Amino acid sequence: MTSTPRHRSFGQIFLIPAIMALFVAFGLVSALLGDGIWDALSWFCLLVPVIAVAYYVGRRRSRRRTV
Amino acid sequence: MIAPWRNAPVPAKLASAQQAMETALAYAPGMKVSSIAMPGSLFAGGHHYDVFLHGDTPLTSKLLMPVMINAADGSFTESRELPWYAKVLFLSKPLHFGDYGGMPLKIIWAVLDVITLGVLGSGLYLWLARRRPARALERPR
Repeated sequence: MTSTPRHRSFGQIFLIPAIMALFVAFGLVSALLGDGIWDALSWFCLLVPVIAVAYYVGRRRSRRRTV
Repeated sequence: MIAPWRNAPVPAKLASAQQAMETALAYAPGMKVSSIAMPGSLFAGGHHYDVFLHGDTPLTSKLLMPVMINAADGSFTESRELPWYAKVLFLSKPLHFGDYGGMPLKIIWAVLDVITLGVLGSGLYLWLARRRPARALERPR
């Protein structure tokens, strides 16, 4: 189903965001229901989207500089 | 819970709030007092103290349990668990305000807020930038 090399299917586009959504949902609820280790787990899970954003913003910046 | 008492006479002399609190705590050992509504106030009705208790774990500390105490003699009248939709509402409160899970979570919360603002701002910018050249093209016609 790849008519052009850049074409991506619905599943390919949303697989990673869906996994990140699971992490975030777990992180939001875990800190709500428990303390200690659950808080730490929630910090880790909620950092996932933050790190993803930081990574792609950083990559775009450095690409711009070299081009 | 207060409907059956609507037409009952209001007690002339009230039992002490201390007594009401002790009766409520004896009914639900291990719980803590969140607040006490005085007889005649909005949350208690005319004939009762309403003692609101909450638990002491992260989960149950967000959930209130009302205990009605007869205001005339300080005896136990009735208590109910919150309905499930009220429980969900109380539990979701920290999700709205982001005031849970310690300082690291608050900082992550703030960073996520800023990212969301960035998405809003860049979307607005793209929308405006797309409209501007369209107008510029319309003018010469």
